[in-house]
Order: sequence, then structure tokens, then C-alpha cells
Amino acid sequence: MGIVSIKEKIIDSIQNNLDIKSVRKILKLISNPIVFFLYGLSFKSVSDKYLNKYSLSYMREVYCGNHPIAYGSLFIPYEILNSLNLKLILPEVMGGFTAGLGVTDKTLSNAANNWYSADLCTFHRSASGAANMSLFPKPDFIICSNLACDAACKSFEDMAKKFEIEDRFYLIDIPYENDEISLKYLAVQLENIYFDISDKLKIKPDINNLKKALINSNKLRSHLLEVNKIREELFDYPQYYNGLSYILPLFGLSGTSKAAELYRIMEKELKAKLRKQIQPGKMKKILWMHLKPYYRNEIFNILEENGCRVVCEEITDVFWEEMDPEKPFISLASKMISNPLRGNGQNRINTILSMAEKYKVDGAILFSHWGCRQSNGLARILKDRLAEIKIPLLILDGDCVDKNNCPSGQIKTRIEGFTEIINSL
Amino acid sequence: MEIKIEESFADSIKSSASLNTGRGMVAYTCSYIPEELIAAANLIPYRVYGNKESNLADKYFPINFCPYVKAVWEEIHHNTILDAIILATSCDGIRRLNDYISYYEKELPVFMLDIPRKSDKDSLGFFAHNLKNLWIFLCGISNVDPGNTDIIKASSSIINRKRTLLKELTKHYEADMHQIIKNDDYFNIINISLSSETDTFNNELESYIKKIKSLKENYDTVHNDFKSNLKIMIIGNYINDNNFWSIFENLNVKLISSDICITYRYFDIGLEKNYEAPGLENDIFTDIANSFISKPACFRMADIKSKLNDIKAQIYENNINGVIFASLKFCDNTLYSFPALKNELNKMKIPSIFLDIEYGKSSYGQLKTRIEAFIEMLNL
Amino acid sequence: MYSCGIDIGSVSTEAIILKKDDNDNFDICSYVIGRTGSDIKTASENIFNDALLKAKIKKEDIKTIIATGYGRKNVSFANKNITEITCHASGVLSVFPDVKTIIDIGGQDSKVIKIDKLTKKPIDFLMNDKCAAGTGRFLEVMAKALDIELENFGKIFFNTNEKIEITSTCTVFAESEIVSLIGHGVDKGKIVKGLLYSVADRIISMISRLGLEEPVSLTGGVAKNSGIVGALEEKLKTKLLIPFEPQVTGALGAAALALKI
Ligand SMILES: Nc1ncnc2c1ncn2[C@@H]1O[C@H](COP(=O)(O)OP(=O)(O)O)[C@@H](O)[C@H]1O
Ligand code: SF4
Ligand SMILES: [Mg+2]
Repeated sequence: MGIVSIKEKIIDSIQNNLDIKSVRKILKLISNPIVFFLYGLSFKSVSDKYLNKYSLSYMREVYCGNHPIAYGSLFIPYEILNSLNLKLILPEVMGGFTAGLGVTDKTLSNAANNWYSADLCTFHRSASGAANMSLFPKPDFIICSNLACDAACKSFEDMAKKFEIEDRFYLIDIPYENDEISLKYLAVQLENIYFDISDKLKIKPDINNLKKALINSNKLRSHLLEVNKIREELFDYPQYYNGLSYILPLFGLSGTSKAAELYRIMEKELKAKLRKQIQPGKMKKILWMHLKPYYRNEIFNILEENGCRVVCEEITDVFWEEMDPEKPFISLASKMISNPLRGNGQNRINTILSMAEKYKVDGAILFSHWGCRQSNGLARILKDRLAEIKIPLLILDGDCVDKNNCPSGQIKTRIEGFTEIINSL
Repeated sequence: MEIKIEESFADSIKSSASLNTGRGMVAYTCSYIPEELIAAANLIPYRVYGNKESNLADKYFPINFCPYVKAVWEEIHHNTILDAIILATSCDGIRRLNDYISYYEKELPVFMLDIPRKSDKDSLGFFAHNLKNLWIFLCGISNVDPGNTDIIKASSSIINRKRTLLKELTKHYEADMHQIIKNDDYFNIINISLSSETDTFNNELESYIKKIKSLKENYDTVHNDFKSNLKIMIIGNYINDNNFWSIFENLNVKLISSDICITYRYFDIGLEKNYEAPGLENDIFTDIANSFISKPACFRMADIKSKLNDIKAQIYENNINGVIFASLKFCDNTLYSFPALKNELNKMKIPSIFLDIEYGKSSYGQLKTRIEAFIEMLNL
Repeated sequence: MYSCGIDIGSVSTEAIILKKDDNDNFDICSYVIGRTGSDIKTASENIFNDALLKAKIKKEDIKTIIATGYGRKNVSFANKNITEITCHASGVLSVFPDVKTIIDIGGQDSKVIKIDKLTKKPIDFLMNDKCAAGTGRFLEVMAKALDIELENFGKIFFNTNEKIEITSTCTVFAESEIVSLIGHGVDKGKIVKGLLYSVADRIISMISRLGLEEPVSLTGGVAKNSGIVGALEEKLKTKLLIPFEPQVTGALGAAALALKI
């Protein structure tokens, strides 16, 4: 039996017996050394292989029941949580995971039955449905912030209520401005959370662990900087490589040595590709904004077929400065505050414009995920600003999680129309 | 005898429409923005209503975007008499509104007031700091000396009189089972209070309340045509839509203890000093920050557990028969709170109905059918 | 004693006349179904007169007239108007007293009403939003796109084994999806089956929010579409109770309520 059909079989079995036990069983099955080896073979890129094997063993740890679990929203300082040895689950990962397994019809309708409006972001709707259906281990802590959006705070609060851990629910309030007072306001919150969680875990906080996490995170940062520099010139990508696949390590696992290692491997792999690249290709370069669909889809193939390649993603930009391990809370607060999705939209626009210039892109795509107010709300200004520097923007309406909200025929027509414009420039 | 709102509040209505007072006008969007600061800077605070009619905003914002933000954008685009606009970091929608105004309406000064989501000491200090910056911004608009904070106290007392009067109006409205104050009239009066010159409004409201009182004394003995005693609680966000309230015009219900942005959350603000303040500045900004952070909270601010407890208490205390949950469409903070509320109401066996409000663009016919059916259901 | 119920829907207008005997039982004297058209006033008057004619009585014989449906406020000769939610509940309960869930699918909207088992009164309901998916109109548009008579949907449903998944939930998208499926030579029967399931899914998502409780009744013009009945019964795993003439249920309820006044 080939690895592909094993995969299909597994997915089939999950779809039909949806509960935590079946997920656990399957994780165990894949972790069998032979299957695990075969699983690794199904990836063409070294970093993808590392990512997937590592994610899998991470998931096993998450599910094994031996570690305290935290649910966290995308841009919180995971260095803190990793230094406390929490195992982490992100809604983006839950949403992506459920989309990848093809069970979102069920998770979304579970959320709908519980009065989650269809106007809301599907990452959070699907995560809520999955949590209701006990597809993920019960959390010991829930930590969220309003960076980048309101959705996380509220949907997580609702989860905390359902799991009856309101006293272990932390909201990190992100200031709008970037000044001394705001920075301090944020740093104090982070510090309180660190000590409160340690307290509840009944462990003596070891600030050295936190420092180590910051050092790891800095390593990741410097590898990622290199990776991004390589990508400014690289055309010959490893097959199926896509920066948008690395949400878990880039955010959720930042602060771990494994995540830093992954980016070291990625740097090595891409560097080798660049060295072997004989001449710059004729591909048109595309900048990608927001996330991508996490179910099977043809978007990136359609782009390739039409001579376009995504060379940079908004989400993989290194927006933060190197952190000072001696001042962990201020450093982490400063990392959060530098996030371009925080505060004024100008922050994001500046980042996009400078990326567009750095990577010399020919066009940009904003994946307009249904119900994402913060990102889609800025689309019109982004379009106008990019037009000023003669870069066409495609606002691609779709949904990262719900394939039914993303008609493939329409997507294809739009992308092809867009690539025709770019290729004629 | 019927009291006509347009007549009783003629001067207030005029004071908001034209600028014959000679004072500047500053728009604001959220009940957490203290009007007293705007008024103290000798400017008329105007809770921006939004232009609900035209469709320019659709060219700028996505289709699934807050209809209030769109309506405000529309109004800002056409309104030439505003001196500035104050926004708050209430939600992603307003954050984007700030971006659009800064980019496409560059001449209009805009201030973004950062409102913390928590109410601990650090948040209070942070909020006070932001309020001070707002004050400096406002003084810049009207050339007032920001050092003179005594004028804030004076202004506070005028605004507080408005709050007290609105509370009194509400008391009469809620206790009045003869519809002397009609459902839609009550909300129209609040709407007028949001955008008129405060002294003018206060005086008119005071005499209106007097009239109501005397009418009521005669009414109790003579008439008894108002049959239903159904008490409905409306819970939601910025529901300020005359078309919506007019659905209730001739319905035999009372809207009691409404929990929306323009009722208690707007005027139930106490300015008493009831906080310990070691490490905090002991100034007027901390006072204001404290009273605003401890006023009845909206769904963005409240933690869901205490919000539900508050609602439960209101329902029991007022013998509420049913709950209408009305949310502006696409409001994440509100929509995410509904599942928990619905669950709680089901447990309490309180019937409830969920309504999407598109702020001027709703299909009112269908809304009317739903509301009427809901009331028929309660009446059966 | 006679009463009359008039239901002015988006597609059809119905009138029904009831007669109550001394034991509080009632008989149906007559009922008429017509199209609403653009002139509600004329439509309601004509249909009312037809119903009088059929019942062989005069207007003066009728004690109370209740109007319902989206045009309920425009019936000048009615004594009262009541929403279609309350009227459908009353209509169904007068035929099937034990029903706990009522589905009504009309031309422009669909609703689900939950009945309390003890009091036999509606305790909760849901209506579709503005969007037309999951309504009779949606089916009409699709029938036109497919060039198949609506009346044949039922036969097709039961004679086709496979279905094509219709993923678009919006009428406009679904229509173009269907046009493209036809273009690709997909068997129309499978498309019809897919469409019927997609409408059923919409309805079921409303039912799940309120919680399914049996017995379930289906009313409204769409209840005449045996394909929808089949799809819903299959997915809900229950038999649907359908009143003798599902389209007049609203009018029947209005007339029944009028007898109580
Ligand atoms: N004989 C029939 N076969 C199939 N569908 C029918 C039939 N008659 C009516 N319908 C459906 O019923 C819908 C109208 O339902 P109706 O209850 O009359 O609506 P309304 O109450 O809004 O006027 C039509 O759109 C059509 O889809
Ligand atoms: S997609 Fe948008 S709305 Fe959803 S979680 Fe991400 S930022 Fe928030
Ligand atoms: Mg009808």
C-alpha cells in the first residue's frame, strides 16, 4: 500500500469516527517507525519533511495527556509558554488541521448549531466546533490577544467558559500606539501572565528557561532573515515549498530549539537551491497577503501554470528586532508591538510596500478570508497604495477553512485573469 | 393628548443641525469616549449617526463589514461642518475607519482613543494617560489652554445633568404602562440627546418630563387601554435606527432595561471616586477613566461571565418575559457573545430571538414579522 | 359561526372559510388558492370573494377575518392581522395536534417553529436571513436554469441514485455553478438531487439550532415538492406530516384563530 493511499485511508477513518480517541489512535499508527519513515518520503522538500515529521510528533505529545495544554491565539509571545513547557494549540492550527482532514463540514455545523453566526471567521468557528466535539485535548490554560483581530479574544473566552477554566483565561490587551507607556503597559501584562501561569502550574519560575527561549527565538529570527534574503533572488524553489505552511513553528513553537533548527535546515536547503540556480527564471514574482486555504486546492498550481510564483508572504516577514534575553518581558512586548497587524493600518501598509520593493514583485494577492475584518478592511487602501508603485493587487475572495465558501471555478477564473494582466505588463 | 417629540425638542434638534451656536462640532463614535472632554474644550459633542442612505462606502469597504462604520464613513465624506472626529479602539472595524479617514479625508483631524479591555489598576492608569492625550488634542482644535482642567469639572456637571435626566426619563418610561411615552419616542429622545447642545437639551428634557408626570397623574384614573404588560429586554450594540424603533411604535410591549450602546451603557455613569489609587495620578483624568471603566460594560469590555450575571439579574429583577438580541451585522465582539447568552437564556427558559441589523439597509418588513411573531408567541 | 383566514404570501394568496359548531369543532366550508401578483389589494379581494362564492355565504355571515402573510397589513377588510409564524403553528396543530416541530417553506422565506409539548404553543422559531437559498424561489430559479418543471423534481429525486454536490450556498453562485455543470454534460438528474439536498441542508441547519423534536410537519407550497420531502425525510430520518393542502396552512391557522376571538 502506497503512502498516499495510507493517508487517504487515515483521513477517511477520521471523518467517519470523529472523536479524540480516533485522532489519538491515528497519531499512534503514523508514529510507527516504518509508517513514519514512509510518511517522511512523501515530501519533496527537506524542510517540508522536517516540518511534517516534527509537527506529527508534536501532535502526539499534545495528545498523549502527559503535558499541560494551552490554547493560544496567533501572535502571543509563545516563547513564554514554551519556556514553561506547555503544549500548544492555535486556532489557526486547529482550523488548518480540521480543513486538512476534511472535517470542517462537521466542525462548522457544530458551531452553527451552537449559534455561532456564519458571518464570523471560520478559523474560530471551526476551532470552536472542534473543541465542542472534543477533537482536541482539553486546555489547562487559554491565552489570547487582540493582535491582529477581535475574534480571538471573544471566541477563546467562550471556550474558557465552556471548559470552566475562566480563572486560567488570559487576555493580553494590545495597545494601539507604539510608545514608551504602551510598551510598559504590555510588558507588565506579560510578566504577570508568566508568573501567574507558573504559580498555577505549581512550578518555581526559572527565568533562565525563558532566557533560553529568547535565545532560540533569536536564532530562528536570524535564520529566517537569511531565508528571506535568499528568496529575494531564488526562483528555483523546492517542489511544494510554501512559506504559509509554517504557521505552527514560526509562531506557536517560537522559543523552542526544534523550531530554530527547522529554520536552519530551511536556510541550508534554500541556499543550496540558490547556488545551483543557473540563471534567474522568467517567473513573475508575487507577494502574498494573509493566509492560504488549508484544504486541498489548486491556487498555487494555477499560479505556477500561468508563470507566477509566490516569493514572499506578509506573514513570514521579520518585523521585530533581535530580543535581549536579559530583558525578556520588554523584549517580547516590543516584538508584539512591532507586529504590522497591530494598531494603525499604516503599519501594515508600510511593511507591504517595503516588501514589494525588496522582493521586486510584479503583483500582489490579498487572500480575502471570509469574515476577517482586520485584513479585508484594509484591502482598498492597500490596492490604492500598491497602484501608486504600479503593482497590481488581486483581492481574492475565499475562505482558508471552509471549501464551500471558496468556489474553485471562480478562484481559477480570477487568478487567470490576474496573471494575464501581470504577464502583459 | 399626545406630546410631539419634534415640538418638545425643537431647539435641541436645531442645535445639532446648524451651527448657530458659534461653537465647533466634534463627532465621536463610542460610549466610552467622555463627552465632557469635548464639551469642556468648548466644542459640541456629536455622537455620529452615520448616513444610512447612499452607497459610496460599498466602494471602499468589503460587503461583510460593519454597517455602522460604513454609514459613518459615508457621513464623514459628505459632512463639512465637523472640526474633528474621535474614534475609539473598540473593534477592528473602527480601526479600519481610522485608516480610511486618515488616508482619504486628510483634512479632518482624527484622534484614536485607546480604551483598554481590562479594568485592573494598570489599565486604569493607561486609560487616564490616553484621556489626557485626548484632552490635549481637543484643546489644540479649539485653542483652549490644556492646563486649565477646572473647565472639565464644570463641563462634567452639565453632562452629568443630562445623564441624570435621561435616567429619570428612563424610569418614567419603564414604569409607564400606558405608553404615554411611546416606545419609539423614548429612543428618539435619546437619539436627540446624542447630538444636540447639552444645555438646550437638558432644559427641553426637563420640561418634557414635567409634562409626562402631569399627564400620568390624570391618565392612571381615566384610561386603561394598554393591555399587555409584556416586558422585553433588548440586548446588543449600537442599535440607533429609527426605522427599527418604529417597528415597536404600536406594539403593546415595554422595552425594559435595554442593554445597548445608547441606553444605560450611555447614561448610567457615576462620577464618584470609589477607587484606591496608590501609584495612579490623582487627577480628573483618572476620575473620568475610573467612572467610564466601571460603567455598565459592553460586550467588548465585559468578561462574558459577569456580563451574563448582570443580564440574569436584570431579567429576574424586572420580570422580563423575553429577550431580543439585536446586533449590527458583522460585529465580532457582539456575535461571539451570543452563543453563551443564548445558552444561559435557554437554561432560564427565557424566550429569545436573534436579529441582524443592517443599520438603515435592513429588510424591515422581515424584521417586523419576526418581532411581531416573537411577541405573539410571548402573548399566547 | 363562520370565520375566514387570508394568507397573502410572496407567491400565492389563499383564503379559507371555516364553520364552527356548538361543540367547538370546525369544518372547512371552502378554500381558494391564487397567485399574489403585484396588486395585493385586488388579489386578496378576488380570492376572498371566490371563497365566499364557493362556501355559498355572504360577507356579513363571517364574524371575524384574520389576515396573515407578508401582505397582511394591506388587507383592508380584515379585522386583525397575525404573523404567519403564529398562523402556521395554529394551522398545523389543528390538523396534527401532537406536532413538535414545524417547517414552513414558502416562496421567499423558510421558517422552523418549535412547539412546546405541554402548552402546545410556539416557544421558539427561526427564519432564514435575507438570502433566498433554501426557499421556493431558489428552487424556481434553479428549475428554470435546468429547464425542468418544478413538478418533476420529486420524480427525478426518487429515480436518481447519485447526486452532484452543489457547494454554493448563494442563489446567484448556485445558478452559475449549475450552468457550468450542464455545460460539462453532467446528468441533470444528479444536479436536481444535489440541489434538493442543499435546500434540505439549509433547513436542517435551522432545525439543529432549535433542536429536532418529533413529530415534524412540513407546510407551505414547497411541501408539494415531493423531492424536498424525500430529501428532508432521508436526512432527518423521520417521516414528515404534511397537511391535506400544505399551501393553505397559514390561512387555515388564521381562520382557526379567528374562531377563538
Ligand atoms: N405543485 C408544486 N410542486 C412543486 N413546488 C411547488 C408547487 N406549488 C408550489 N410550489 C413551490 O412553492 C413555492 C411557493 O410557496 P408558497 O407557500 O405559496 O409561498 P408564499 O407563502 O411565500 O406565497 C414556489 O416557489 C414553489 O417552489
Ligand atoms: S483570519 Fe482574520 S479574523 Fe480570523 S483569526 Fe485571523 S486575523 Fe482574526
Ligand atoms: Mg404562504
